[in-house]
Amino acid sequence: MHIVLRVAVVLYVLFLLFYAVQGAFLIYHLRRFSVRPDLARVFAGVFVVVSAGLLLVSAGLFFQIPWRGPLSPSGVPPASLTP
Amino acid sequence: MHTVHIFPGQHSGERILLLLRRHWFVLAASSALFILFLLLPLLVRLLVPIGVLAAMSGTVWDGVSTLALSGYYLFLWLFFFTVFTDYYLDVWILTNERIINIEQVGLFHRVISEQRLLRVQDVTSDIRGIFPTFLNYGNVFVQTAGERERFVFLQVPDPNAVKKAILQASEAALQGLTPDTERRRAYAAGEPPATPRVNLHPDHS
Repeated sequence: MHIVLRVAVVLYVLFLLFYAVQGAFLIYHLRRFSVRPDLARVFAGVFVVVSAGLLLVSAGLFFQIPWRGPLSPSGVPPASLTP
Repeated sequence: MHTVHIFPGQHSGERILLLLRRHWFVLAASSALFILFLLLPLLVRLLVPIGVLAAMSGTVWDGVSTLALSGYYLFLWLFFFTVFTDYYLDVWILTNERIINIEQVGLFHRVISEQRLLRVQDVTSDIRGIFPTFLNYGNVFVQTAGERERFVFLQVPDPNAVKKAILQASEAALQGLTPDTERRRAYAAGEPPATPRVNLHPDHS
């Protein structure tokens, strides 16, 4: 596997794991400690739906990136970025 | 103020008089900050030189920058929901027996305090600032005779009405006392129990 793609996949998976864990913590707190369980279900549902939508967009963008493509237009650092 | 008939840990026969959260404006103010952060990438895009954007076009970095933007919005949503959960789980409950303060300090840190109405000594409402004055929200301080001397209802709607409700509930709790009122009155005021009389020299005659 291309080295850039390998690094990108690892970083992206770590990012997804962190998001999933944090999201699970939030839903757990809502469902466990809310005084009104019916509202807690609604809020948890909103969080899951919006997160799923954003994650789908993010995944779509990830797989659209040409990871094997050039890192610069001509294969060398652009002139504007060189000292 | 919400209509809730039961809550975890409720005693048999205990009635909820008030269930309070912070005023909605407190959450709205935090949300305004998040809206600013939503617009921040647009500002950054305007500030980046056109040459840099042109250089990135057609390369991996073009897609990576868009992916990074997507990740930024994901984290922003996660952070906002964390703030909302913290707001939603901070609750103050007034029942016909006690006041309960439930504070979610952060994830995995929850503080629950309660005090019986018989121990309420003084209640003060405090509205301070332009927005609290116009929107009628503020703090209510409840002085008690317990280990925790002061309960604070933070940024609650209509603090004057909350103060009156607490005082009325406290009066009702005191009036509903059974005989032996003096002992209970002393208990409510936090006075030490009266020392029982003991005859150290019983009459043997």
